[in-house]
Amino acid sequence: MNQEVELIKDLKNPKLKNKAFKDLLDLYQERLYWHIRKIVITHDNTSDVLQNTFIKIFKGIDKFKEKSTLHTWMYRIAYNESLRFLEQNKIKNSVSIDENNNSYIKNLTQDSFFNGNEIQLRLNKAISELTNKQKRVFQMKYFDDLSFKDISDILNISENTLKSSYYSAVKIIEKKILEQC
Amino acid sequence: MKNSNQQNKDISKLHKEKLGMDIPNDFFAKSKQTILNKVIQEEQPRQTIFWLRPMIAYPIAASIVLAIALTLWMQNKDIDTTEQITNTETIKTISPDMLDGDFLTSSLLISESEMDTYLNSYLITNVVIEAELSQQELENIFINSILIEDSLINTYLNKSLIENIVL
Repeated sequence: MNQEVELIKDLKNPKLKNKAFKDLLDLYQERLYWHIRKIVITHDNTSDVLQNTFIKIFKGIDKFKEKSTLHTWMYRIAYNESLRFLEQNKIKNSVSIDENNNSYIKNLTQDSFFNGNEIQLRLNKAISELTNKQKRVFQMKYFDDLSFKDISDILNISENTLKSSYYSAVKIIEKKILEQC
Repeated sequence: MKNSNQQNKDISKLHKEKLGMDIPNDFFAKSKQTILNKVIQEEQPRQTIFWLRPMIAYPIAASIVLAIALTLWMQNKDIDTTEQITNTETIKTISPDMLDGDFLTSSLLISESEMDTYLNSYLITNVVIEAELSQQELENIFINSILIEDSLINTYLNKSLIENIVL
């Protein structure tokens, strides 16, 4: 947390902003990439959204009121940018926009940077069958390693609801994978 | 917070192993550079168009234009005044000649029917102007007297009146 506090201070200082922004990229670029990738699916689209996200972070850091932690604020920007991208491009493969699971898997397998085996594809199929809320909570908790408190701040949903959704999601995924075996 | 590099590696490994999602080699280094370039590009226009903020730059530019305009106007005004002085001096030097000889000589060549018109035009062009010049000289004496010290005022007035009015 101390590292974040120092980083925010430097980011808000015009003389240190550029240097601090480079440190911010080193710290969070990879994590935000994977967070966005699970929403927009393909690598190329993820790269575009990631760039837009960091430009917004750079421009908006002066207005950051520190009501939440820096990383949850950045995850929220990344999440909103991803949804905005899907909305603008009317991509039908994301479950957040379209509930069509086949479309999700089709886009995933068509991406040149997807090289998953049979087991990995099964997990993706199981995730694609979750509801939007279950999917986001499961992805953020399991893959992004975020706490329920952080997820609650990002999605603006109560922690109890999130916990319930997460455990439901885990059970559904286990069941789906077993069914596919 | 865990060591951030290790945490990043763990997250990337998890996504690759569990979801089969991959990324191009050296992607994050290239992406970082692209983002930094874009951020610099976004910032540049504000600095390169004008190094001062519009709030400061525009009043300065307006002041410079106003100063140039005033200088030009003042120069033109000086030229006009000089021209006027030159004209009055020219009239002043010509008019005594007209009084001495020209009027009498030229009046001999004018027929009686045109004499009234000739006299009118002569009066307007010479007598009226002469009167105006005298009045102007009087005004000059009074204006100059403002600049003369009290002790010298009587001498100045006497001298000026004798030179300009009596003579």
